[in-house]
Amino acid sequence: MGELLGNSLSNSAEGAQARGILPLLPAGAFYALFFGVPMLSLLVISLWRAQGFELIPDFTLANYQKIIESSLYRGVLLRTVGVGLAAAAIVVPVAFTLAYVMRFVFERRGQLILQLVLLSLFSGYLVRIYAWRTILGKQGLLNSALQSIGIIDQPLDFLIYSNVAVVITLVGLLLPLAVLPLFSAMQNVPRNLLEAARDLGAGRFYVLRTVLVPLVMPGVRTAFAFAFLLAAGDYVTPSLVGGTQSVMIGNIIADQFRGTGTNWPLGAAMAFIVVGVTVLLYLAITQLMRWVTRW
Amino acid sequence: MATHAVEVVELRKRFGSMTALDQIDFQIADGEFVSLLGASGCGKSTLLRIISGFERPSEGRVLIYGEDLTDRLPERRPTNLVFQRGALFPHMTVRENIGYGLKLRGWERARINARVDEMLALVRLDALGDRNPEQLSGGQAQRVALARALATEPRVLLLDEPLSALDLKLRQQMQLELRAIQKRLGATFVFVTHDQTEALVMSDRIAIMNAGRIEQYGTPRDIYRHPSSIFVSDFVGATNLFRGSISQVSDGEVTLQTEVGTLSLNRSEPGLQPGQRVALSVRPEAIRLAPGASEAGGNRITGTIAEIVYQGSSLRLRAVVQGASAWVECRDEEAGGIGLGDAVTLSWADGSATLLREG
Amino acid sequence: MVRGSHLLSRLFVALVLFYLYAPILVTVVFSFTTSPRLSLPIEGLTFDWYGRAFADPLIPMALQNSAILALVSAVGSGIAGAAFAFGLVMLRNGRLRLALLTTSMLPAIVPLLVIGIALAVFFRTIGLPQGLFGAAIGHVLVCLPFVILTMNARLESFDFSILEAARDLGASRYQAFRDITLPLVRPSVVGAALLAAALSLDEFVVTWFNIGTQQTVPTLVWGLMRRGIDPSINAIATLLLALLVCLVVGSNLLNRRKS
Repeated sequence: MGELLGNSLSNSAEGAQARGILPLLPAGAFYALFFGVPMLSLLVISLWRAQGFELIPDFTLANYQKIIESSLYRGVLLRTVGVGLAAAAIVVPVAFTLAYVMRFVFERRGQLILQLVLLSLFSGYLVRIYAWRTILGKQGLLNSALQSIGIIDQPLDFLIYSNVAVVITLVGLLLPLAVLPLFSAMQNVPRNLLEAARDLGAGRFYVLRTVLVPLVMPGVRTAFAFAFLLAAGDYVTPSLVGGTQSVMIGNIIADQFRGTGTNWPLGAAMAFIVVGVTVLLYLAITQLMRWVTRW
Repeated sequence: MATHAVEVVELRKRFGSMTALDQIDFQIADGEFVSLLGASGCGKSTLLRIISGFERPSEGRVLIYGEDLTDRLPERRPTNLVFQRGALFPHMTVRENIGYGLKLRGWERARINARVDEMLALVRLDALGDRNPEQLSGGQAQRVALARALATEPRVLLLDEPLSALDLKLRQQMQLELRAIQKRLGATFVFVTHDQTEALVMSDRIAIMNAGRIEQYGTPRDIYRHPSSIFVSDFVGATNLFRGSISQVSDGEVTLQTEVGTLSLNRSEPGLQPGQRVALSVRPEAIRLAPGASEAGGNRITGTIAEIVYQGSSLRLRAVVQGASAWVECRDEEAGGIGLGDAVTLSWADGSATLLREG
Repeated sequence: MVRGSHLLSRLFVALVLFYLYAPILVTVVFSFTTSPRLSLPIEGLTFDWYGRAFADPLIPMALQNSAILALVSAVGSGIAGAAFAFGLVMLRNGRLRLALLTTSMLPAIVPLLVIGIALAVFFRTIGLPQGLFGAAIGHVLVCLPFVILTMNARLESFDFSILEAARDLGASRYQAFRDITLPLVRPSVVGAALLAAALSLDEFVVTWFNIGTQQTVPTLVWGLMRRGIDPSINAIATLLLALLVCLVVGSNLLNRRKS
């Protein structure tokens, strides 16, 4: 009897569906409550006003207006996007080449190289940024080395506390993340596809352009997403190696929430503008990539 | 009447708007080896999964030894399934795999060990008890899967294309082994396959399935000799289908006008009308070849040899008869030096031809 | 092309690896050098910086907090993430599965800064004071995408017909889960949990906005960095690095095991 009773629930289609949702619930609820709701409330707050230390619920686009109208903020936003694009422009081709080499030149040892590359990710985020300060500083390793070899007489001061420093550091941080989707995409391309193209008479780069790249485009897009979005959104790197020259939007946002001049609505609006702008730019660029590679 | 081992009553299965099984009614007797034969998509695996409990029918019932088990959970059915790729538990040894069902039934260790030994001997894998599944070859893995399914002495064993992943020689060997084990145990086996030779070799009866229905259910010889439809005659073994229509029906004789000429059958078959579209099915090996042309008619036709295929132990020859092809299969010696382009006469015994209705 | 110039390729890989590991090398090397100015030439070797690091009064508290957060992250995101990945694999609707998977990756794409402040604002609104609890929630949120991604990859190659085989032999759904699924999946879950622990130990941004006056090892290091050049940072960093590497290597080994 019990087995029949148990049946009506457990063997029915509805029962199976209900049970299927169960494992999704804990993480799902967590996401909804601690990601969805806070992001939504941040959006709501971006529409409020701040008076002194008080938050006044409102519905105004004043904050957004202020940011868009201010040349200072626009400048910072522009620099943020610029740095992000520069980092992505370096990271994606290097990651592509690395993935290609790992997959097609080294094959089996390629996996090992991938592990090594990924391991660098786990050696301390803050620490690596700080170390670049040591390397790029005026009395840092790079300058000392170049000076002792005799290539330069004076330390290169654009290497630290500058946009250049931020880009150099970001590239080191984001390269491993960009390699992953590219390597994974290339894994799915059988070697004999490329060989067939060569056999038919195509030169090396022609094969790359017309066979490999189209096949791994989704991986390229993901790599670009990681590199660009994470570079533009990074806050610690410009703080440590950017100096005053390379203040990025992240610094300004952070200041609204933890400095003396706290203006949460403004900070929130900035945050959404940054996210909005970077996402839109990402979509625009990937659409451009789609058009170009159609040929 | 003895209770059937398996009885399927008015079974239907729909997946959304797609009908996978349409009015399945059949019975399997105790101790029988029955094959469900058909191409992929015909519904044979679905039927098996319904009998084993992993799918529920949209309509109809499944009875096992008289007990209605349609609503029973799979773990509570007296059936066991041998999966297509073995589905051995990778983290258990061969012995532990075979003994799993027994452990669930609460047997003591000594008893489990004894039964596992018995099973290993049955499938002739005595020395491999302590291996892990990944160390086994394909054939060994399937034998372990079989042993595991038999260990709990199920009343009905269901096998879902268990040999399809094996290479030809191994498959042929396993076919005979499986049949021998089934006979020795006196168990009821329901065997799903798409390979008609396999079905013919192993089964007591074959159910040929097409688009969710059973087209014919009978002994291998019945199905081969007297296919009930064009689909069956075409699916099992090769055959010639001389298509045409009935020109005359009289007592004891049927005359047809076909693509290879006027033919007749010395039989009376019920329900035939002049003008009805039919096909005459004659197996290539049932056709006799004689050199030279002669008068056509009845069960004789004349044509020219267009193709000869050498198959080692036999020859296959294609003759063109009035524009249509007729295949003949015979031993090399029987062809008596007939070559390409020769005129030949093809004839067959009346009882070797089957009249099939079109559509 | 496919058997191209190996030398060039090797050089390229070497350069890239050098670039990626340069900051790490610098950190480790300079944790042992005597010169406090972190530049060449290297004068001598010492363990002084390690000693100084441990002398910092904030270290014990930071270590403890980091450990607690790592544990919570490992257990919390490990279990919830593994369950979620399971639920995903069981879904029949491929489009829904893809949509849910992509959505669950969002916390990894949205700037950590934005997540940090969104959580801070949210907690303030509901009246939760800054501290470990809020930081823990932030950590789990940040770890979940990676746990889900790892588990998803592992489960895709899982042969589910063995669960049916167990049920066919008489196991109930629970028994099949206990006897078959759990043992086979446990190494991957533990591996993913270790990964979460590593991510948690290294987490800075989200923590900083939510932990208030408390410290974790990264926030402590940040404080030291802001104050100026302090070689003991390198010492702490090297130790953290060693721990993280162990966790990640361990996680990798577990994820490779099939049974």
